[in-house]
Amino acid sequence: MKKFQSFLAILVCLAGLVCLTCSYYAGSILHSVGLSRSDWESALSSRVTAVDKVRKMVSSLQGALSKFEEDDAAWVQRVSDLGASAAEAYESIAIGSDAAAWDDGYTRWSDAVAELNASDAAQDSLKKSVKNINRQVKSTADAFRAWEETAGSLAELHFDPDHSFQASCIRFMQLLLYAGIVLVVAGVFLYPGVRAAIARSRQTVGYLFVAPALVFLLLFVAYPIVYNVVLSFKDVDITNINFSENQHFIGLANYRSLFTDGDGQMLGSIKNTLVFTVGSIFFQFTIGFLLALLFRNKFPLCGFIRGAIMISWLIPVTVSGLLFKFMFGMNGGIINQFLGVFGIKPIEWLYSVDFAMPAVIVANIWIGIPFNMVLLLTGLTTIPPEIYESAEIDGARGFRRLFSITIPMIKPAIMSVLTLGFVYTFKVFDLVKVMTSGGPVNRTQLVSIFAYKLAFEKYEYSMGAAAATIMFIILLIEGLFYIKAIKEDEVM
Amino acid sequence: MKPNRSIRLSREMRRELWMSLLGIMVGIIFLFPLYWMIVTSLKTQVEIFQVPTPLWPSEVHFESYADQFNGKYYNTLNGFKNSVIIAFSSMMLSTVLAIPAAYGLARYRIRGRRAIIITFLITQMMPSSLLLIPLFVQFKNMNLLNTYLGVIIADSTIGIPFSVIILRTYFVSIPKELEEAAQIDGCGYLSAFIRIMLPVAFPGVVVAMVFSLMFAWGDLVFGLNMLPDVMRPVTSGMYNYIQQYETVWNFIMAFGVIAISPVLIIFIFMQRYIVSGLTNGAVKA
Repeated sequence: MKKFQSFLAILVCLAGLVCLTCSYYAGSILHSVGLSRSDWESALSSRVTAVDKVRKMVSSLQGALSKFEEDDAAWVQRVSDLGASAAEAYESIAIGSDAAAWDDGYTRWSDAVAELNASDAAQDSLKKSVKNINRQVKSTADAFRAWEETAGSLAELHFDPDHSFQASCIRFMQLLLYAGIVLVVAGVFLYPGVRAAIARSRQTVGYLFVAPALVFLLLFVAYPIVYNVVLSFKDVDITNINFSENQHFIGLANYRSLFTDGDGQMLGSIKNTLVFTVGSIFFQFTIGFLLALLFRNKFPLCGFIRGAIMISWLIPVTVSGLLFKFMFGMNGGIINQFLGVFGIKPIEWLYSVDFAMPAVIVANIWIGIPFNMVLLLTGLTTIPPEIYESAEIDGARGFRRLFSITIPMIKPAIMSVLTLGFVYTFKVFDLVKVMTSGGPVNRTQLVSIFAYKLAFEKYEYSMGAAAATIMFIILLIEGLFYIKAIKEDEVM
Repeated sequence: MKPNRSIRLSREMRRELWMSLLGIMVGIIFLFPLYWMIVTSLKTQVEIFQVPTPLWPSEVHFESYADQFNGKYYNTLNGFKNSVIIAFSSMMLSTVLAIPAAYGLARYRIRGRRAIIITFLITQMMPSSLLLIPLFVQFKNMNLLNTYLGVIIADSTIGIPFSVIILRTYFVSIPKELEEAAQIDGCGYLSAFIRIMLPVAFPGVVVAMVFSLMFAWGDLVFGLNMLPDVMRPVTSGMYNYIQQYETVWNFIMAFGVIAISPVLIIFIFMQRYIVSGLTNGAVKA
């Protein structure tokens, strides 16, 4: 019986190994022939987008050129005008008969000269735009070259799009790979004595329990984050995303251009994120705390209302975003109508430079209050009532009681709420994406939105990855603070 | 002494009455947006843009609900189907992977346990928009783009760490003697886990499942960027659609009511568990 089992185990293992080898060779054959349907499709699509990019580049170049011509003509005109008026003023000084006319002529002359000097600055900006045009010419040429290269790689792939045979080959190959892994693992476990040996070591059993989830996280969270950092050091955009041979390491260039180019959008988005986070947390926490103080008491309907409030935290953010977009709107928006009762004129909240951010923050406060309230409420229930009783005997009531007993007692809960709230608010994306998409004029553009825009609207994958990495570093620091805070609590 | 006591009682009652009133007011203010969503979904376009807008429709209209299913605008039924597929699969994947991991971390003093717990804690904090760019490229290479599986995996990256953290505290709170007794009786490690621990930890498992389901149900970015139109879940499908029909608010609000209905139903039945899970996941960690 035991012999049969070990024979079976070896057989299963061998079958798995055969599967793996087949999959490996099939894969390498498919690859060498270059018969991947998805490769072909992506090459085709990247060729199309490369053409688009060239077109966009050319049109923006044309725009820049015509603007330059306009600026140039205006400058020449202005200089000659100024020169003429200066000459005229000078003449009037020369032939000026009385002091008043001379004074007047002199001021006009000095003004004209000053303006002429100032026009040097205009010339500087002209020079800058020439430089800008040169740079654009260069990147247009790059884009064009990339487009030409896609033609080459497309030709290399010589794929017949009507045949799905290759696609099923690939699918079969993947199936073989997974089956091989499963069979090998099953074979090892089937071998007599292996399971008993594992069971003898508690360490191994523990690791086996944890392994599946850990492997998943390493594959789909840890590896992507590392990949993200690597990507941010490269120059990947739409033109070379499918061609790793055209991607280069360019060091910190993406980070440098994030902070220097692009009309300060990176710094602006960091500032916006901080405003958003601090504004949201302040109100979420304050209101949440007040509600927790209210709902710690027992009164009729207490449990029901407390539960009902939780709903705002649970519904999909896309829906709450749409809801607030409607309520803040100009057409039929209830908030403007409500404010109208107090004589406040309608405000175009989400399209106004000053009011878009407050509107988004209000929506986020609504979403976040239940989270704060529930956690603080849990903290409050841990305070033994005897403390309040003895405080009452000592004469501490009202605010004294709040500041000298309640808040110090639930300090761990407060710290935890604030740090977690920071993390959760800092990473908000869906809400702002739905409500304003970062507008107007980037006033509500958070770092998460900015990174998304770079990667999925401008197809600058590496730049987007760099912005995301900056966000990751900030979150990581904050996360470590949180872990330190709960470590001191000794609840881990 | 009797009259004195009755005065104290009535003072207590008055206090309760005031707090009830305050609580009801808070509830009304808080739930007003939801009320407004439902009311708007029952109005006609004319009534929505009327100034001042009536707080209750003069006549209840269900057309915007009918429009969800007749394909006039966005095909909500199809989106709902996709959402169900994605959210339930993600829930299953998350719980199947998270339960043993949480158990292992709670019961076995393996080396690197703290580091692993911290890894789970930190990954729980990562925004989906951060993972989106690398996962997009990775799935492209793995042929997982434009498949349900890709989005299911992506959604599970939120559910798994959260589930592990809240389930771990559950397993820690279960007395050790229970499984030791089972092991003395001849149960192996695996059968002690499945036969004894799982049934006892069932409430915790339910919480983990509910949260994983809700995370996946609410996802926007993964569905938006990793799936073609017909495979998108309600949230991202609708988001993509309103770009064109931004002012058909009664339709959009009716959609919202339908999209949140599963969450509401789950919440009504699981309220107590959800609150305990939230506090376990965040405070005790």
